[in-house]
Amino acid sequence: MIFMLILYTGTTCPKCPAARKIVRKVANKLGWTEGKDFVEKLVDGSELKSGKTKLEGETYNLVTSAEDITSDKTPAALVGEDFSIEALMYQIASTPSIVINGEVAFIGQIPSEEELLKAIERIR
Amino acid sequence: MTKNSLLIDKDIDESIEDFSSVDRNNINFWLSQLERYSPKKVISICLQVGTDKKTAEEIAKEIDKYADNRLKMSDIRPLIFSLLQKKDLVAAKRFRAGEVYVVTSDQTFERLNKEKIVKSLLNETGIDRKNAEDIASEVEKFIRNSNLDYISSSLVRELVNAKLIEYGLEDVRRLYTRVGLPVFDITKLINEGTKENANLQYNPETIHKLMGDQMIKEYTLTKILPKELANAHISGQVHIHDLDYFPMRPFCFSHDVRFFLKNGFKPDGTGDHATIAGPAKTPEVAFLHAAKVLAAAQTNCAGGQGFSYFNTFLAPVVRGLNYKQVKQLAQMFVFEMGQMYVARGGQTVFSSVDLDMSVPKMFRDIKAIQLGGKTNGETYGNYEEEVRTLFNAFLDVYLGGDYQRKPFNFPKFEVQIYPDNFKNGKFDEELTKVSELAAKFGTPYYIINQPYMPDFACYQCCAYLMPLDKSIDVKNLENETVRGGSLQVVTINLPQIAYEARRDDKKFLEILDERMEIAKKIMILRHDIIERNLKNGMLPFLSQKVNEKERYFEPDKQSYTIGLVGINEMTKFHTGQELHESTNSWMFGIKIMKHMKEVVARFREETKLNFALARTPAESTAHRLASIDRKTYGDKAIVQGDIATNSIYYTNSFHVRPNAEIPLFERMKIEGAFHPLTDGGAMSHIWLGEAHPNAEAIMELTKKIATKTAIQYMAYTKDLTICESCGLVTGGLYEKCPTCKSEHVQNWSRITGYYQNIKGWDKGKIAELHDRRRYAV
Repeated sequence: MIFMLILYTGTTCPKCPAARKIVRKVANKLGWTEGKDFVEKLVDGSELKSGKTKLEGETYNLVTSAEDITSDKTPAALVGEDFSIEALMYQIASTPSIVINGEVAFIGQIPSEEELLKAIERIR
Repeated sequence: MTKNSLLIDKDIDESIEDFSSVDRNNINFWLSQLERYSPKKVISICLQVGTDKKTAEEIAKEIDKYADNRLKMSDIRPLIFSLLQKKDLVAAKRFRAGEVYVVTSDQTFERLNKEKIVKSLLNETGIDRKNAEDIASEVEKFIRNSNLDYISSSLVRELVNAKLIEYGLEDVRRLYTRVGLPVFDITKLINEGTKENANLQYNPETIHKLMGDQMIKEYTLTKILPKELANAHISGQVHIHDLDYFPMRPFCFSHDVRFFLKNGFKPDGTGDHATIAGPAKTPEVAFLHAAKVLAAAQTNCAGGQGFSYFNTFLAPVVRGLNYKQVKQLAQMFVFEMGQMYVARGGQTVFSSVDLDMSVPKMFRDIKAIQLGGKTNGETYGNYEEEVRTLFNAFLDVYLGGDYQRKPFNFPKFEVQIYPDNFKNGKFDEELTKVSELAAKFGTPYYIINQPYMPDFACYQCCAYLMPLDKSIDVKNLENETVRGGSLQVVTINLPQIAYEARRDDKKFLEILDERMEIAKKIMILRHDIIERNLKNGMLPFLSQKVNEKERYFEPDKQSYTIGLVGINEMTKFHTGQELHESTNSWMFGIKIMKHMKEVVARFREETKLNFALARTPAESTAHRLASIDRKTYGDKAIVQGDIATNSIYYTNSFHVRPNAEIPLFERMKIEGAFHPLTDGGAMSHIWLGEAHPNAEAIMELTKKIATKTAIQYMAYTKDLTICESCGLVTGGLYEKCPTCKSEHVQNWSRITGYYQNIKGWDKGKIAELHDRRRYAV
């Protein structure tokens, strides 16, 4: 499945909660569906199983396939696979990082809503 | 008059032991002296065969009536025998049986004595007495039956060793054996030198060093390394770097110049053997101390020496000076480093300097050490201007080249850059000049401080990253001790694991883990050796005290670097495709690297030592391992280069095959994915194809690499032809000078993490040089 946006995060990453919020806020504005248009992948979640979990205080649904993300299971994060390898192939080695339409847009930083919208505008 | 000439001129009549200081090479001379008649020798011989002193003196007196020192001892042996027959029959019998003399390693003569063999065997090896005596008897018998007059102690030892093998006592033999070089090899070294180390010129110091190196290498493999570890190296499972320094010194080190600004400088660490200097009071002396620190430290280390944050820490020293004066200081330092042709066996010091365009943020609030060694309340943050001036001064010196306009290969010029530098444009002027230097000579190395990197990234030596923040805390920032190095490097031969695993993923990881375990054992052994040497005072520069508790060099705080060779050939064998040929093989390569990184992290936990995964320089490793595997695995082994001439090599570390026909940026991305996995340092190379590359294009490319890839360390390599006749430096490799047509040219290129005349490269590396895919920027 090809996503317009992939957000790479980690389970213990201080900047990730803010990035998660901004990505979902922007996605909401654009009318995107989580699991179809965009997805969050945990780079250190290869050993994790699907189910509910707390990530930095917020409840998240861990899923092993994007197809499992239904509206009642958002926010969600993909686990069960070593996504750090995929991230490295994008030259990403720190979280949070954002790939838009196959192009790396932000590495290890939290974009503002405006910056993210601009990047999506430019790349899509 | 010296003792030597005394001996030769007059004292021919001296006893045989006194010839020990005669020219060591001239065995015929002292054998002839030994042969010459003297009464003392007669007495000595009589005593040796068991007569009492009185009888011996009588015989000597009797003989001296007829003999003088024009005669040889062999001439008067019949006379001694007849006199012995009259005076001491038992002794005469012994005399008749004939004596064999052993020429000892101190160049004295001793009678062959079985007991001495027994004693040395017991003393050196822990063999049981019965075996020792049996072997000694057999050896003695063999020698006496050989009709020899003289035998060297080394040959006696070899005969004993042969017996030890016969007796099945191989472990005893390993302890008893000699190490050294065949006469043929020494002759070859003297007449031709060697190609093994590209930094070594053919000169007398080098020849001495190489003879020593060979001996210590053999000693290390024979005595220091347990058999399992030695065999792992010999069979090419791993490559243990710098075996010739293994029992003595650590590998490389990066220094903090503030320590010497504050405390002054003892080149030998103690002041016992060299002059002691206090803290520098003038800028010139500060820079000269810095140069000498690297030279002095090199005597205690096997690898490169460098300074981190060099111009930041020296910035206070140049306050108030004009640009011309500052440039003069930079020039003096660079020339010192390029001209002190004194390091290990006659070579320039393998040196590097990390230079900042701006004061790194962690030092902004640290009090700056001034001339005279004191602080005055100013912090490094107040020296932005001086840091920048010094940076530019160094750049201009490098751009100028030496007297002949030849580039400086040492000290390596390492530029600290940050991806943000390209966004804010604040240092465009400097970055443009750095790009010009890359276009002109290929000199600069770029340390790209990527977001994933630690705050302290100091690259040095053959491009090892010192993850200093693991061993350095705020105290070190303040107390002038931001320093560290790689104590040992062991490289894992990845293609060999692939051949052994036969495309079985699980098996692959099992063998990989075994090989890494071997590397770990080697590192721990090395840690203990260096700790012991420091305690014994063998490394006085490194063991000097920083404070009451801490030495300048602490083995517990160094990096233990595990390197790798041949990810490309490994993926080719395991997945059927090379690194650049499919996403699948690229992914497999990354997975293996990641696994190695995890194992290394586990080692850190287990040992509390700072293990790190890194790109190995592999000047000769890539060729050595490929050659071994080619012999062992035949056609199954996937190697690069020319098989017919054994000019073969493995692609180094995680690099894409040098001659792969892929776009440059594609190459950088494939390699870039591996950089974050190397906590001990990585490097990517861009081989430039044009004689006059465009500096602006290099700047643009650097920007793209810094901001769009994960590459943390890289350099542009421009091949150079330096004409010895007209002195001109031309881009590209030519057999004749393109300007004056002279055939007296040197071809220079970057062998791995440093520039080098290709004359010293091994044939695997030369094959790689020809294979390198060169790009137009």
